[in-house]
Amino acid sequence: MVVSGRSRVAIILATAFLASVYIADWNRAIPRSSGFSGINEILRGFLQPDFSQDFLIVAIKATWTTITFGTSAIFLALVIAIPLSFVASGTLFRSAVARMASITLVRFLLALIRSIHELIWAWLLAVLFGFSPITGVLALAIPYSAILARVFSDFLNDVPNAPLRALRSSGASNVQTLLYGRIPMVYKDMLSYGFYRFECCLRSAAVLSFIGLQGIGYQIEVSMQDLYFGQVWVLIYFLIFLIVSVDWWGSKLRRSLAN
Amino acid sequence: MTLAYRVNDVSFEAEGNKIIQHVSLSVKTGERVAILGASGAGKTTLLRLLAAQIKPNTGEISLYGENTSDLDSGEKLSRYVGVINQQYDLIQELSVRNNVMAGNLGRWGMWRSMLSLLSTIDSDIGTRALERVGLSDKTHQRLSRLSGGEQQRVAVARLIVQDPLLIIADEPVASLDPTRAFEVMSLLHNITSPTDKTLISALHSYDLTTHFFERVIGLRRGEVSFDMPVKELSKDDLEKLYSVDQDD
Amino acid sequence: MRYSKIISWPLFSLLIFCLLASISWAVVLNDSNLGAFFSGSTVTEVVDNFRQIYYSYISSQSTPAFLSYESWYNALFLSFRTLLVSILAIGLAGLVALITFASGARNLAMEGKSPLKKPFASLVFYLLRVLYTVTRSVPELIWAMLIVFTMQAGIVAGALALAIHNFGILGRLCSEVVENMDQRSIRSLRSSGASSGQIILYGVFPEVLPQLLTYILYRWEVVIRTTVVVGFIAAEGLGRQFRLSMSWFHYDEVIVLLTCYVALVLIVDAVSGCLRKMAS
Repeated sequence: MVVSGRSRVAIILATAFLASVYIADWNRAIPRSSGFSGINEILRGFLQPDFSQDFLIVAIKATWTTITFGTSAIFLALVIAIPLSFVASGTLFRSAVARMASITLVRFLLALIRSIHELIWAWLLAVLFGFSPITGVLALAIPYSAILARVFSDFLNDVPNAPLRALRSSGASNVQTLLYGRIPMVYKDMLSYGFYRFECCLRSAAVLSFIGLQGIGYQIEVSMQDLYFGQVWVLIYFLIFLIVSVDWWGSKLRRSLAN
Repeated sequence: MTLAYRVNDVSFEAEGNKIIQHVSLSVKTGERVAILGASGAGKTTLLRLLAAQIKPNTGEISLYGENTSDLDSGEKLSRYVGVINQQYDLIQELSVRNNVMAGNLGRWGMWRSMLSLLSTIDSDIGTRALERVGLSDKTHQRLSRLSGGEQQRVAVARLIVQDPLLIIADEPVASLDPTRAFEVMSLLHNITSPTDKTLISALHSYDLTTHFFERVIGLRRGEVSFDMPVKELSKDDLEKLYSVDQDD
Repeated sequence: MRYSKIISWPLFSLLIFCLLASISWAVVLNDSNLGAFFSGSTVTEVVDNFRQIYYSYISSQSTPAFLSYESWYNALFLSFRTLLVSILAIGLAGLVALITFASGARNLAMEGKSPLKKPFASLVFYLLRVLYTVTRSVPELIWAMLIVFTMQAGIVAGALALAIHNFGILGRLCSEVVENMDQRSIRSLRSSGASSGQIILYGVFPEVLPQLLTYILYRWEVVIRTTVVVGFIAAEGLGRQFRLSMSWFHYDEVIVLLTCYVALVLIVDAVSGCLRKMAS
């Protein structure tokens, strides 16, 4: 009986999962001694969210801070990533050797950069440069630019060859092929993926504020420490609203691009 | 001879367009009927009405005495009617075998359906069906690997397993080259003719029509233009059927 | 009036985005002490920082952590635990997404093709959609905070936080695959007599499962990165040790942990890519 590659992968994953279930220490999965009152507090906060005017102002400010962090970061990331992706895809070089070198070198570098989570980048940058909004933005922009560069370079490379050959035969140089050939074919995908990453970046910005920079995450931590779960839920609602709005914006954009 | 279909003054419209207008006809068991017409004449809609996939706005269709508007359950209907379309009938991601065995779904419960997917024990009906269409060697391949002609043969095999009383075919060979088209139409002929099953098929090939069918109905702008034995069909009738004139 | 004729939506979005970005940058630059940042003083500060870190914390140790066999062994053990959490998390997310996605697809639930009875099907659909949205909008770390509040920290707590967030992502993705599916094959199954449940089994699953598999592998790469960070809070694996070592200023240990972290991520990326190729 021939087992297809797909089934083999499914079996491997299922086995790995079952192994992990077996090894995990489930006896620690019980609520803590203070756990039940904790669940109680969380539920109480859910049923009585704090929509007071004072707190709403706090929440709006925090959301705005998160928005500024996230938007600045993704903007910078895009500015860096787009040219970087040209290099990483090797499409600027004619000779095969140069192309190979640029691809492997740059991609490896990108892989290293994007393997480190933004919170760890934040911590590292904070150790070196201290806490300030710009550190937070850089901590987000660096890994995100690596992710975007990698994905964009894949898009640029996966383009069908025939139209490019036609361009080159009419005398286009490498850069011109890039501008007239590749980019028009992939810009929609790039926009779509970029928007998806924008959404992720906002989420990361909310989380980044845990380490002391302002934002939704910071406020959540503050409210949690005082056990004001009514406030925690309101902040969560703001975050959900923010993410859903950006997601909706992105879908609309994608649909209008598809037409 | 029993009546398979009695269609009584049926009309159907969608989105303000009158697609079928005042069509009446009857089909006896075991008849082999071809339906011809230009695109947009209403062939697909008529076939879907006959297959009880849609309900007429006015008039009624009775299938072996039962009103098609009342036949809702897939199970019961699937014992009367089997459908084969031009493409997209089958599940690309499933194996040929599972696609063929899906003809049994009307008879099987959930557990049996699930079991059949997991086990690779070949059941007799499926194996024989695949033999009849000449695809035994491809039993375990994923359907997406087969060519268009082979996929249509798998669809026929599924019909063999389903074993309905009549088969409705909507341009089943339109996307096949002449040789493959002939093969598939022969298969359809061979599974209906010996067992006295009814076959109603929309076609656009004059040759296939004259070769495999005894009765031909011409559809033009949702109305029956002619309904005659195939022997009487002339090229003139066809020209009038497919012509594009400005009046009426 | 057709505003869409005046300016196209993509262009409009771009303008809004640039506007937002400019405002954001203005705010950020305003709030940061840039003068100090860009003057030479910061650069020398950083170099001083480096020097201080190296001399006082690293070279003062008799055996700096990255040279000690024991600390590497320890770090490897923690990496294994982190890997475990990631597998558990993505497995749980995938499993629950698999069970629920059929009810979360609009075309199945609304058009009477769900095995559930009519009023239930719509209710379950809306409930699931809300669930997917909430779980995927809230980042894993916040889920982790909530969970750690109620449950003991450890492997399960961390895995649960990751699983909740990724469940929303996978569930919504699968529902979208079902909604974008070619309806004709489904209709044709109906003519073979299939009930709604059989249609889902024979028509929907074979289409969705391969996509789900690929996406689970893609998400695993993201999850492994986040698992370490969730470990800060869920007190597990590399994350926990990272936090401890940072707070003790044992930067030599941090270097060991970072190396293991990066290696782990690169390995998972490679394995995931390999498995994805096998599955295609």
